[in-house]
Amino acid sequence: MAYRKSDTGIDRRTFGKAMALAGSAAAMGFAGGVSPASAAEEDWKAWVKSYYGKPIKMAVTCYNTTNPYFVPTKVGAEDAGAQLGIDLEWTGVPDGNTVSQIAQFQQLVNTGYEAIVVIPLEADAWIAPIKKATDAGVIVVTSNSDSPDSARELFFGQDLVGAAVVQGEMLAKLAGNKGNVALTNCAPGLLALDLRIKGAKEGVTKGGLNVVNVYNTNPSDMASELATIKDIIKANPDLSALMPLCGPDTAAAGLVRKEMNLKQPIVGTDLMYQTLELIKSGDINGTVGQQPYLQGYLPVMYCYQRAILQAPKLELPGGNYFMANEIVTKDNVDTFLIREKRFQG
Amino acid sequence: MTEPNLDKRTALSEPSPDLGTEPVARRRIFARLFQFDEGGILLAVLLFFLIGTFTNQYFLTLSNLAGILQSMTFLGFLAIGVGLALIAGEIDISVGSVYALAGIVTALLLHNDYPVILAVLAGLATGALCGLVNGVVAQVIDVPAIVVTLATLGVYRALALVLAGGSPVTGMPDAPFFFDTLGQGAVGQVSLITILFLVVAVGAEIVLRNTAFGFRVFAVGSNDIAARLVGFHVERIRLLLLVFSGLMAALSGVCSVAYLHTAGPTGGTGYELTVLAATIIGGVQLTGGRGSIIGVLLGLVVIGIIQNLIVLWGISPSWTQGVSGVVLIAAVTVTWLTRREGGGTRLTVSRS
Repeated sequence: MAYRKSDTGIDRRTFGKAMALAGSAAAMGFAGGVSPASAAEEDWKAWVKSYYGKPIKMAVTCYNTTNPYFVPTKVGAEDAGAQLGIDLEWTGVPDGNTVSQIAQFQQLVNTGYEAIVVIPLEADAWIAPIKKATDAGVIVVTSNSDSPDSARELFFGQDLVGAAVVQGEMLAKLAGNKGNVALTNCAPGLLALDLRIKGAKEGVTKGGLNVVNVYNTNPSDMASELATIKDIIKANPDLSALMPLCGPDTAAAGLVRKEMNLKQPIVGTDLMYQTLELIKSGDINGTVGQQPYLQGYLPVMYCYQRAILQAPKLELPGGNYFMANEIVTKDNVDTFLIREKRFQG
Repeated sequence: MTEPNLDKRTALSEPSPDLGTEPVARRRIFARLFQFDEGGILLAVLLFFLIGTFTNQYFLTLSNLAGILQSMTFLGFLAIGVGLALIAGEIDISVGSVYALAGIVTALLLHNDYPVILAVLAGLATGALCGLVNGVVAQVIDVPAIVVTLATLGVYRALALVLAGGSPVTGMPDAPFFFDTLGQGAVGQVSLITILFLVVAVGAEIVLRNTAFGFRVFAVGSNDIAARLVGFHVERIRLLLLVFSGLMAALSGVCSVAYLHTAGPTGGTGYELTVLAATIIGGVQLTGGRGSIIGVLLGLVVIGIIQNLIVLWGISPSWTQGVSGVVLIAAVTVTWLTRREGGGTRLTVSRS
């Protein structure tokens, strides 16, 4: 019995046609995915390029491009880039893969980028790459989450410990200053979340609550978030309060409270549009925002000052540019609903 | 019914991995132009090089090319192990999890002030042990390797998460040779870890092409019945290759600890799919019996160049996997077109 290619029921010509069709569809989809800038933006960018004799290139690299929290950050960075007339690239990895993100970062350093805003996951992993980049003359700042031991110039973000203390105290007051509270963490190992947990524990403990556990969540998958919150409720039937420490966690907690008609107070994190709607409907008591739009906008503006206009380095304690907290409750949520509608997912 | 007339001389004397190949006259002109299987993928690499060179001024710079090499290094270790296993007719999709687990073991030992050499050996041993478990269950208990490694993908990942307490391991003490020399050291623009990877790759190719063991690997993957009939220990060879695959994944994990100065329990997630794509693009046949480490390297280069061009062109990184997928389909299509009509990849068994 001679071996024969298995009979798939499809001949070569039909297979070739199918591949051509798939390739055409992919090409069309690819072309459609590249959004054209407006004519005015392109004119402005062309003028800036001619003024400086070259395109000004800056980039933002993010450790989790699929986290809805970073939508305003991306918009802020792109707005700053458009206003300045520079080539602003939003890049990063969708899955927290630090090795891939660093490889991308190094490619940006090697290919003429004047400044790079890094949103890192594993702080220590960025020490060597950022040092190499700054040695090569690239301005590097961090945003949202820091790599404090690296050679980054500035960190743009929230005083995470302080903000979480305020959040915890608010929640404890709403819970009557007694009982158990569960916390959530959407990025285990992220320095920003470690600091937030530290502050949260301090705040709720000061307010008389007892932390039962910190539960890990998956911010890129709302179905998983909902399931995790429900599991937390089932595992802790005597829970007095819930303190989500990430944007998607907060929205998920509000949805679960609404669905299960729960009474435990929730004071969460960030100003996702869904969270604001749930505050308006009374299913979340409040949230503390950290201005993600400005976490994208301000670093790009600063980097432009430094890299292009040769402005002096901003000397701040610890190199930290802390942004103000935005505390949102039912009393003031309408203002934020109008402001944040732009980032509605 | 008569016994199959298996020509052992054809199986054993033919130096090419294509045991019992079809006559040259039946190959397509395209394949005839290239004297080796990797011709098609090499052409693709050259094509991407040309595209990169003419579309971006930075592409053909030494630093950018070194960056491409760097970006494929950690996947490359995994691809060597998986590629060899595939050639022998096996598969290992637990490599991403083994990478993470070995890294966590090494990092934890360093964090607790154990000597560097012990931490490194423990990490490597972890990977080898994981491969051994995969191999024993697949070869001795005879569960298909795809099922075994699909299961252990979850088990090893869970072990990594539990050992690390759900978050990356940091706070390792200074170890100049491990972190500074191995992790960040370079010869010119090429990192020492990349050099190590290339040395391992060359070594693996030499073993595959020029040793009796390498011939057995091809024989087992091409036709395990025939291989068994001529006296090759099929299960032992496949088990050894699964151990090697685990060892390679562990080596990558240990090197990543040296490079990053940290180890994350979720590291390597999805690596198995990228590695499979690279090996298939590089010409390794999923059914076994065909392929080379050179081809695997070229497949990795293609993926590395694609990822590089996506950054250089300023395209959203969300397209990365999609573009790699399209390239994979193209590579499989070309392979299918050039190897059709039996393509000389299988031993011919005639009944008379």
